[in-house]
Amino acid sequence: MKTYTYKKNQEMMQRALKVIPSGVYGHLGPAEGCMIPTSAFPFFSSRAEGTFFWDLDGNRFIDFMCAYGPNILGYNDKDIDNAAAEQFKIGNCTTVPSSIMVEFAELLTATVRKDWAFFAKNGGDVTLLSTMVSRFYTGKKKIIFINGYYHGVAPWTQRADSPGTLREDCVNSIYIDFNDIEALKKVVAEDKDIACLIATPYFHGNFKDNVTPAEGYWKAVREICTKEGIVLIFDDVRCGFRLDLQGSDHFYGIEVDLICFCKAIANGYNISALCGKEFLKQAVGSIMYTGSYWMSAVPFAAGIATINKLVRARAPEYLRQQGLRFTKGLAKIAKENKVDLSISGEPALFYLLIKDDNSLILHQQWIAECAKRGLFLTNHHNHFINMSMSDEIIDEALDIANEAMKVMVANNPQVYR
Amino acid sequence: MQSPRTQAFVNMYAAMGTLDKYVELDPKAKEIASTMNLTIRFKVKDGPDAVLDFKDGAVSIAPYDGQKTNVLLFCTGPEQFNKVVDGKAMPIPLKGLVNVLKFMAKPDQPFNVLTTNMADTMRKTEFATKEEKALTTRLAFYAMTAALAQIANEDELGRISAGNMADGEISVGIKDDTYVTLAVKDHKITYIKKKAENARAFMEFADIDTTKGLIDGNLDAMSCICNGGLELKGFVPMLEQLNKVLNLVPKYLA
Repeated sequence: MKTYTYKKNQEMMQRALKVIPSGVYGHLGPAEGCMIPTSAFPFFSSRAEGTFFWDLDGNRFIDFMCAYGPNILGYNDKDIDNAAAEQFKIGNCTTVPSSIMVEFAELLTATVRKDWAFFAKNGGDVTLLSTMVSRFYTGKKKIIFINGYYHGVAPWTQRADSPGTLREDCVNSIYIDFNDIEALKKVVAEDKDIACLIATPYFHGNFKDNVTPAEGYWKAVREICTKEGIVLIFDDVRCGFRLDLQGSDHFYGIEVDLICFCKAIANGYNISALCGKEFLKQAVGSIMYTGSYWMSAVPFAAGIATINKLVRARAPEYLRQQGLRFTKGLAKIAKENKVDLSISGEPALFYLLIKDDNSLILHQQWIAECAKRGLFLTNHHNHFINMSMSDEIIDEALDIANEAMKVMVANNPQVYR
Repeated sequence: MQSPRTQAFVNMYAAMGTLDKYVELDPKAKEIASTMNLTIRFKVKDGPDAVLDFKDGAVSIAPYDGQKTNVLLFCTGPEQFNKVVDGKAMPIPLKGLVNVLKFMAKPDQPFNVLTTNMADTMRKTEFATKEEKALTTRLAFYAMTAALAQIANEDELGRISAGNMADGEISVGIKDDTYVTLAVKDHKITYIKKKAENARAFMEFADIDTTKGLIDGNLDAMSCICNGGLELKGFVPMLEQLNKVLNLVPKYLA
């Protein structure tokens, strides 16, 4: 296979570095995005369609990152874009909101089995709101986090050693491990000032195998939180709609008090939502919390179209099926190449890790070889399946993954004799 | 906030601790060092306790482990030791007064000339030759990387970062030029001035200019990652924590 070069991408990065901190900052950039080595990856897209994006050099990529989640139906899905365009013609950001907000709230709450919805823009907007609501409602201060968590980038989500975060931002944070009920029992016995427990539906931390909940884990957590008056929050920003259209709490057999949605909610149109149970509705309404674009109408229209299309297509079943098709194919390739490839997490958001060394270097080499041949994976993060991933596309991706793995193996004869 | 105790460890092992490389890399420094064949113990109450060994023009520094020394200099605490390093106070000589008077009592005596020259070399910003710039950069690189270990082990925030580090070696280097190893074990870092043989994570600056720019704060690390000036690879979670410690270095290495 021909390998890609990135001359125009690199030229654009030089322009970017002059006017944008870090060129491309955050998780889409080369640093936080762990593009190792940077020379193997594209930096800028020129267009996107379905499950593909093209970079500035015209290279086409089968994209298993889906913009880190928002692309659930396919880039530039015509049904969603048409719904958004129609709304755009009649109004978007207005002094009083469009009534389409109410229509979306009705559809969303009915879909995810909650009593109300509060809209914002990014996942971090609503994870923060979920903790504010919990503190206000319970009159308690502390937040339980699950080690390896990610709930955004605001100081309350960071550790005290993060640049820009104060020790004081973290004094009410309690950290326990996932699947560790005894640890939870211990902290709630020792501390009566706990407002909430915030967690993702399963452990999907970076750089390590993802872990699904042990049998009975969430049920036990639910019982403890109810007994102790602790608000149970699911951060479903990443998993939302990929596991279960009724919410990932439904998927794992419990009902949480608050649930945060964002990425897949409107197929790339910018909106997030906090949904919750009736008893917390008054508390949310008492908090002054708003933003300039939070009630813009176009994303609501996109959200309605997205949910309706996902429901019609029974999306979670298809996403799981295609995730299994790809990961089973990868497992076969790894076995043939005598590579110890670990595949973990839920199939619609699978996580990959080569375990033949303890430095991640072999894994990074494989992922880089994939990128150079048009298969966009990451070496640190879970991946995402979208509804445009046909069998043919997945088979093409497997061919690339196979060749890339053979190159990685050939480049490391000391490991693969 | 800057901790005097952490500052004392940085002064001991990153500032004075770079004398070994200074005399190795600069023949003039070696000549000065060769006039002193003695061992100096700096004992800081509630702080570092280390021995500087000058022998035949070479220098080494190591924690005091009971060996005999020619000179024993005592400081009543980290604050006093930090003032000594800044030239604003004197330590209390408890042993070897003759050697103190001979080598380090006045500004023009060998020990003081050596440390002053090294500090001046590290702070240089104008260079007549590429070699001068390389010397300054290499010394600053050694001081920075040595400081990383001390800050991770002593500073309150640094210890949080070290507390989240897995065991293993981190290779830090200037490509094809200078390498050191930060060996992490049980959330403590040991600093080794040689290339790692079995590193788990790698941080490599592309060249002397990039290294100098990053150390001086004229370049930012994220931009250098984007333009290839800084390569990170391997077990990235270790590097993420190391980067947090790196952010603390300017507080201690002015």
